[in-house]
Amino acid sequence: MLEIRNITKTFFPGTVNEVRALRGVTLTIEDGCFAAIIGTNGSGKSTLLNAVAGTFLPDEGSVFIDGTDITHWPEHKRARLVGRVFQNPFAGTAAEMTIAENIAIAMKRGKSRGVGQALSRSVRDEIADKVRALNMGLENRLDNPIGTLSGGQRQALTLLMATWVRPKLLLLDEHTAALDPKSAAQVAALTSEIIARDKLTVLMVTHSMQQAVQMPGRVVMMHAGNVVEDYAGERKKGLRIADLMRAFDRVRRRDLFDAAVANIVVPQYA
Amino acid sequence: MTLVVGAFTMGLILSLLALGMFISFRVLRFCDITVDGSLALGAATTAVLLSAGVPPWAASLGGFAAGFLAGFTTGILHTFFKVQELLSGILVMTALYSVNLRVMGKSNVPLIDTPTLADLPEKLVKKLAGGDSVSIAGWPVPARDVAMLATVTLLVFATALLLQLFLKTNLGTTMRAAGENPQMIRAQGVDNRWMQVFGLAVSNALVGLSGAMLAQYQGFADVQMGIGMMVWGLASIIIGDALIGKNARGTGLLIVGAIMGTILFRLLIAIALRWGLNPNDLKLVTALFVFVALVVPTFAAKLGIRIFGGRRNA
Amino acid sequence: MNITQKESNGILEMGLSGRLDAASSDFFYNAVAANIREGRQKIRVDASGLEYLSSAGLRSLLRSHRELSGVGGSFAIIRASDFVVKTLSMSGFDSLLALETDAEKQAEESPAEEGGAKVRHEEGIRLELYELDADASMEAQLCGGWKSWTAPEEGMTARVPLGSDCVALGIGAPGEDYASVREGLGDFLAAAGCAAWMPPGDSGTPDYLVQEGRFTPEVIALSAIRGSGEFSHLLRFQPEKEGAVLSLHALAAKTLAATKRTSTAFTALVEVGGLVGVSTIRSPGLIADGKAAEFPSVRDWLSFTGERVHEGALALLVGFVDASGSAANAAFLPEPPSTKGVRLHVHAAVFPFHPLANGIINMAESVAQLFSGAEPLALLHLVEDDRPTVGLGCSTFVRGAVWISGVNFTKGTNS
Ligand SMILES: Nc1ncnc2c1ncn2[C@@H]1O[C@H](COP(=O)(O)OP(=O)(O)OP(=O)(O)O)[C@@H](O)[C@H]1O
Ligand SMILES: [Mg+2]
Repeated sequence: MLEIRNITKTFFPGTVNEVRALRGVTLTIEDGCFAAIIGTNGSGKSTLLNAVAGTFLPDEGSVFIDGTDITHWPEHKRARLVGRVFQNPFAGTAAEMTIAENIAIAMKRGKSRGVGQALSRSVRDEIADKVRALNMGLENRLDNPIGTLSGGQRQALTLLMATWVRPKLLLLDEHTAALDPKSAAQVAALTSEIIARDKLTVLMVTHSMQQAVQMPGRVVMMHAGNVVEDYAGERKKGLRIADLMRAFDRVRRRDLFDAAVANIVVPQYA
Repeated sequence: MTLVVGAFTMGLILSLLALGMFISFRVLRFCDITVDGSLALGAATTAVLLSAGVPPWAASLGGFAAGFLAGFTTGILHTFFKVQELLSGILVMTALYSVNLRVMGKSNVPLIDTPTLADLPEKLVKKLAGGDSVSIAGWPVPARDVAMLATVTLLVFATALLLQLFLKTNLGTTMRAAGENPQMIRAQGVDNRWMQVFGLAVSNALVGLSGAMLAQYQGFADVQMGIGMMVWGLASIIIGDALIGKNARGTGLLIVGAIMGTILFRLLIAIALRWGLNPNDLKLVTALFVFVALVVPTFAAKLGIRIFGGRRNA
Repeated sequence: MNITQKESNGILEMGLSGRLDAASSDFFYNAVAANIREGRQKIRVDASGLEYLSSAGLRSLLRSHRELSGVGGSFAIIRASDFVVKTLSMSGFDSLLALETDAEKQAEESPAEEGGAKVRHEEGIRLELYELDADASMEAQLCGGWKSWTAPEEGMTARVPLGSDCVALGIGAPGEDYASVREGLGDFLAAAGCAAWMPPGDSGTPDYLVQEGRFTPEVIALSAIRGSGEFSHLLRFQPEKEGAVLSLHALAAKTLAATKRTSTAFTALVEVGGLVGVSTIRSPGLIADGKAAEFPSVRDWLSFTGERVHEGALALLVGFVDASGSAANAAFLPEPPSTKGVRLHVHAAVFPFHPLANGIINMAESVAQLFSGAEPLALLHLVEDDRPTVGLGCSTFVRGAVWISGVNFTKGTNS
């Protein structure tokens, strides 16, 4: 279970460039819950994921996974509990290393790495089996550099890598956004499949309303560093794209409703 | 012929340097300048140990260990104290100049009549040849030189093999990935900083070993002997790449390329010197060569030369 | 496919040349629809240049015919060549064919329809004012005792029936008693037995009730104005110059001028130029302290359109205007920043656009038709935004029909 308590993060504090990216976000994701985060550009979605992954430490607030306070854990230590897929297909793999080598590295996530052979027979077989299950024909290309693959193939492999060792929490940051529509759909389907199969706890940032409505069991909407909507349970079941559009519209309107407007409008509302 | 054997020996000794730099520049994609200092450090340590009567294998290991420490320091400066890549190398290299003087107590330690790693092979060669010199292709070559050649060949071969095996281990693959994509490796639960520190340490250890062999081969250790070595190593790697072609993948080929590049480079230099190139101009010419390769990217691209092993992801 | 248009004696002649088939039928239909929207509702299609007529083309002719019949206009095909006549009669649509003499006869009749209207041209807008019943007037009850933005109490509410005999607006919701509506109160309007209100919360779309048989819509209101009686005037307006619009404040002034009264009620069906307004997003029944009206907490209660919205849609307006200066009415009729003593309270229910017939049209029929044809998209309490430079001003309308009547305000009883 992931528990985010009142996290704030300000970039360039005290300067003209000050950005209050997170303004006290509190969010609890139950075990086995697949939650999507949607929100306008710059609303702090990635920042929230980064705060959970430990890319930086939050200014205030804390993060718990299964009751353990990981607020001050460095990124690599959190990786024992957290699997990650980034938006950029280049970010999650080492392009010049082979598919097999990349996967072998992921197989050791959170474990000690000795001077044993990375790609022993048994490891190779295991890799080939799981890669074959992707049905992308990649099992014959295990010794090709992963950089020679398409973005979609790379993202599929990154997803496989992030979940090879079952993570307590899987973070997906717009992991289909950089792909063409067909590959995006493919990777999205694979994502749903893996998550359902392994009953993973997931936090997924997406810009696709379609994905937000179809894939997860919960949708959290962020705006200006805050959580502004939280569709869970029954409320999520009835959620349609039009509802999300309206919610976006609402937060946008809320922004346009400033103090000057209030001064004028409130006396006219009788 | 002595000249050729000398060039080969020198080339092989320096290919230890090139292998070390292969780790920092190619695997870690780290522009490490410590090399100039750690080569001299390795030489100085070994020379002093030899003079003190330490057996040659232990003295050489001492050079290796000293280099390890130097690289370790550079790594720590960069990763934990956030000193810039180049600057951390420069700091350690500069400091090492004084350290080397301290180690040696003076600026030059001659090794006359001290044993070297080549002593045992020398006896063997003499026994086999039945004299003080060996005839190679009709040319007489001193048995000592042949022995030295054999020793470093063995050493380089062993080192290259070990390195290649290491890069295929779990730790080795992780280190390679850390060099290419630190973000990824952190997401895989590894502190990429320690990977960098460890890699730099091993890299400079090999450089130190190269210094150790150089001291034994030349018969002295000098505080100046490291100057320009990084550029030479770089030139070797560049030539090695041109030799194996830019599409070469796989660490094995790259390692072989680095070794071949170094040897070829020494041969070229030997020939140039023979043709009357002023030895004082040697470093200038080398620097020019590297400069051109670095600064003219189109030129580099045409030759298929890469200085670093590709892009490093943030 | 090429279309030329010429208008004479209120009849628009659209000359078609080329092929009217699947590729061009939409183009043709959209041209017809645009004409209908702009009030050109007697259309003749000159088919002499037509080279080919496919089933898709035939369908677009039929659709045009249906659309125009719906608004009381007329549609006919003239100068049809033999093959067009043949195609039409073979498919049983020869009723669309008009003899030229017919068309001319209708042309002569047409000016008569303007009978009784005072026509004026103002700032690019053509205004027709019809007198329906000079003696008609309305009685308007001011219902409910709630003072805006305060925590409401049970005794303040009023039960407001919304039958076909009245027009009304306010804050309320249908329900048994106050307790049942306390959390669901929102802006509402009603005319001709059709009521729409905006439930606060997620959905963002209004709900509606229509009088049927013995069922009469009714709301429990915190505050409401309910007017009953007949309308005395009908104002029709439409632009003559591209981009000319009638503002809400100008409209209010015209109701006062038409009736020569200091207080008026009006109901309107208008094509929207842009609406500026607010709507309740949290039931005022939940207000617990005086903070609701303060910024920023007011944003939890009220949503502001933030821009001019719903351009091109059809809006049903219910409004009350008061220039009498009476203090008793002030609580029910807020004063916009720039109207100088003219108070007004206007609610707008927004529907997808559909054209209206020209001339005198019946309010009850038009509103009933509106509610039976589509569901309301939004419901707003219209306001003026007079912020310097960035202000949105007040709502504007492109064309439409406004039923107007003088009104006497009386204090209603609470439930
Ligand atoms: N490392 C950083 N340094 C400075 N500012 C940052 C950094 N990361 C994010 N920001 C700023 O914080 C704000 C939130 O950014 P974030 O990337 O979290 O938004 P997002 O919701 O993920 O948007 P998008 O949909 O565009 O990805 C932005 O204004 C961004 O410019
Ligand atoms: Mg983002």
